Amino acid sequence: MNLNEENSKPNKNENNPFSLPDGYFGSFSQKMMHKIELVEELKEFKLLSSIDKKSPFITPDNYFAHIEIKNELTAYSKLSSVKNENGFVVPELYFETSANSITTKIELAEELKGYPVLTSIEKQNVFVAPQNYFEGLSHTVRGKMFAGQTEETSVVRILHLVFSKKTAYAIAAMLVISLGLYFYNSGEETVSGDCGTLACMDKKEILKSNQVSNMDEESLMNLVDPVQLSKNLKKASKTSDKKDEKNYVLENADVNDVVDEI
Amino acid sequence: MGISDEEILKMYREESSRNMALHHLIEKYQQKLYWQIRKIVIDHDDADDVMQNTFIKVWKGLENFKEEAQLFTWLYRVATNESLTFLRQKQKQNTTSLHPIEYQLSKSLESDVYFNGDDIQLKLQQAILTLPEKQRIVFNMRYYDEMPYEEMSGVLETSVGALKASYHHAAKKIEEFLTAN
Repeated sequence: MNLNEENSKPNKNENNPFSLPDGYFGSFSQKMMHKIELVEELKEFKLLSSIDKKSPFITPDNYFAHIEIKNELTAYSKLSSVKNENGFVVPELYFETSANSITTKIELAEELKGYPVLTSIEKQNVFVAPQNYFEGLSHTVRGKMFAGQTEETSVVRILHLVFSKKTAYAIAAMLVISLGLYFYNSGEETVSGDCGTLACMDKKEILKSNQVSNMDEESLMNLVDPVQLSKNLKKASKTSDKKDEKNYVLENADVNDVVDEI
Repeated sequence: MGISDEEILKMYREESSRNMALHHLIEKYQQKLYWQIRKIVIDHDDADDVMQNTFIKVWKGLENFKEEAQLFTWLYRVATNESLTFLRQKQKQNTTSLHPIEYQLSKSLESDVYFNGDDIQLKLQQAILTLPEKQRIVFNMRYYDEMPYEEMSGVLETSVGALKASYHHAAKKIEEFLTAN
């Protein structure tokens, strides 16, 4: 009995631990003949036969595994119809920075190795912000930033409805200047009969004016209108004469004389 | 996914969407900047003031912002500088106390309603407040924000080597303070 034939039947001979696939010897000669034929065919093409025969084509990684997974899902029609997309998102630049952040974490741990007390403390943010603080911050900052601009822009917008943009801005600017001048002037008392010189100015006004304090004597003299000044001085002297008279009468008059006068 | 810096800057360049760009800028960076500022100025109301000033300054300077630089690095820098300026002004204004501002901040933490740390956390914050200004900022950025030295170098305009040295000095002083107290 052929030992090999015997061994081709798995577990037939318990003394021989080796076994062979079913029909191995049956197809062996056929396979050999096929191989020889192939070699013979290429014999005349020396260059071609010298090239190592292997497939240069490759498939994407896990291509066959992917097919297998797809096939597995065919039993579940609804599930396999769902587009296989990752619905999760990561923060911006996460992958670009994750390597750095891991390295930093390791470095940090290394750096603090020599400080046992510090390392023993739990690292946490101990500060608290008031509730809803961040919800209103954008509004607050923008409010603060554009506070001065709102009125001006609204005026310009109204004017822009009638005039061109440039004209609207020009009119708005003129309005601001005119109103400014109006309010500036209305705040001061107007001196009647103002002659535009120091003579017509109120004493308080002169004292309030910083410009006057910085003037030299000659400039001050130029500001004086001699005619108006002499008029004012006369007025002042008349007033003081009347005052003097009053004082004299009060000081020297006898009570009886006064009674007689009445 | 949030709006990108490029999108914010693009909106800023268009006059019609400029206001919206500011809104997005604040929404995107308010928390990160707030905690950075808060760790420097300690008090919430002060942090709020500095936050507003920071965004106003950023908004005014955005026109000159060079886009090859990272927006957040620049924002961080403005926030840090604003916080330090604020503390210096606070120190100047407070003529009644002989103590440095850091001491006052340290004391104020004990009664701060917006501070929820336990005793050891309070000690740690007080230890941080004993550090010189620059070391304090470096320590906060590295220890709490876990910022890489390269990025920190961009914010503080200091070499990586100097920052590393600064952090180690800070950690050593804090360790000593915690051990002693």
